[in-house]
Amino acid sequence: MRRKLAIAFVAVAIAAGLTNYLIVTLFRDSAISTAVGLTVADALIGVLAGLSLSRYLTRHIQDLAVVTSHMSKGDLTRTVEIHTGDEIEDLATSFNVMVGSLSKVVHEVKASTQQIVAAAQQLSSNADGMKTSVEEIATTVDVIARGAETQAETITRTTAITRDVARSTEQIAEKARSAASLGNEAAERARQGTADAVAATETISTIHADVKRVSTAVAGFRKQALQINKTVDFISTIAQQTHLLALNATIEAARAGEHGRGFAVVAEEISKLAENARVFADQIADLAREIDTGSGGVIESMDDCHESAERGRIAVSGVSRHLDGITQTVLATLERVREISAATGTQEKGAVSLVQAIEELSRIARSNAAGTEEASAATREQTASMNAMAGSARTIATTSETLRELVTIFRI
Amino acid sequence: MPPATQACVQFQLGGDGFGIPLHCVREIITAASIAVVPLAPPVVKGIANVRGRVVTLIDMGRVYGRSHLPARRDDDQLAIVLASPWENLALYVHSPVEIADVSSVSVDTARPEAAAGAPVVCEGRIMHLVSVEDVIARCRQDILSGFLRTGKERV
Repeated sequence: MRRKLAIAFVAVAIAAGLTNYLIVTLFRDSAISTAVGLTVADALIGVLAGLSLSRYLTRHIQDLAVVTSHMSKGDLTRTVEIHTGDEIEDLATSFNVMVGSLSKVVHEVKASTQQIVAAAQQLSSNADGMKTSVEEIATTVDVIARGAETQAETITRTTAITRDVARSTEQIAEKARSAASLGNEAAERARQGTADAVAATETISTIHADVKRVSTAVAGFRKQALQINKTVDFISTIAQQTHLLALNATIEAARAGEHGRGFAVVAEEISKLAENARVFADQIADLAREIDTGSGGVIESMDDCHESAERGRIAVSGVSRHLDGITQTVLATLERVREISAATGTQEKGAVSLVQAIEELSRIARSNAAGTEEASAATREQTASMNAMAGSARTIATTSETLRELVTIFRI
Repeated sequence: MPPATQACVQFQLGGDGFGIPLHCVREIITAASIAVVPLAPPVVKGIANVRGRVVTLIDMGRVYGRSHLPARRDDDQLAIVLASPWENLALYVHSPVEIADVSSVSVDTARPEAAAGAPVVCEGRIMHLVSVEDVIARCRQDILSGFLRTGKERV
């Protein structure tokens, strides 16, 4: 290029020299004309030389500009064909190499952009999926956390209830021991009652026999009283007859007049004796009737007493049997109460172990609740990170899409 | 002058003391077996056999309209057999029957108690001393009217 420019300058200088010589030759008469002629001629030579040089220079540059213009529009398929053998050709060659390199780069960028877009879309999709999964996990962890809290509260209440149950079991055991003691006492009293009932039965049997003997004796008294009554009745009859005889003797004495006066006195005395005998006989009869009536009442009372004693004996025998049955029942109940006492003792120990186990379970549940709460918090943080990551993935996808769209400008 | 006394057989009717003079009485017996006379008036208690003699028993309670004392025994029913001329009559009374001396008292015959016999005093108490005639007089009308009524009824 420098050589071509040097040749061009030399040619221009030669042309100018020749031109100047001609002008000087032609216009040697006039200096002014010569000067003007030289100036114009040099100017024309300079202009022509400049135009030629510029045309030479701009023609390949225009080719470069056209290709560059296509490159600016993304067309990397075009190349510059210049074979000037100078620096412009070198420039065009380098330009073509640059275009080839750029095309290769753009091709690789396109391929990479496709991969980035696909990866970004996959990443965004995965991020969305992970976000959804993490949100589901967060929801599940929240549910688990609430469940753990509820479980902890429930276990706390269960612990309280179990303590109450343990206390109730302890009270039941105590009452069972007390019931066993009372059962022993009841059994002893029932045995004593049975013995007393047996003794009462024997006593009532003795009373029954005594009453029967007394009743027989009183019946004998009644018969004797009846006999007394008959005797007194006979005495009363005799007294009445004696009284009538005395009255009739008095009548006869009165009829005898003075001769019968002494007889009348005797008759009167006999009458008084008969009257006294009748009065006493009446009194004895009254007493005998009272004895008879009283004996009858006593016999009836004795019969009632006899029947009552018999009923009492039967009732006491029944009481004895019932007491014996009560004793057997109380003993059986006592055995059951002892079994209940033993069972409640075992239950009491089991309740204590249960309380300890539930307290341990409560502690674990509280720990689980705390861990679940921490997991929930971590999940929330993870959810936030996943949201951010999903946002970044979407941004990457958008950016890669933009890059892909930008790269599609280039034709290679 | 002290009041005159006489012996009499006394008995009880309706809570009041009655007496009949002793000389009018033959004997006192137990009215054990009395045969009831059919269609006889109420004043006729019945008839009895007194040592082979039929005696008619006049119920003194019916005659004087009084009730007898309750008889506790059979031998409390007595028959006061009258003396002649009324030996076929006996007065049916209940025990007690006694013989006592009575003294007469001055009583207005217009008083009502005079209708049941003369009032007399026996051991400080006033009693009615009746006569056999009065008893017969009281019985006659009842007997006649009773037998006539029953006879008319039979006719």
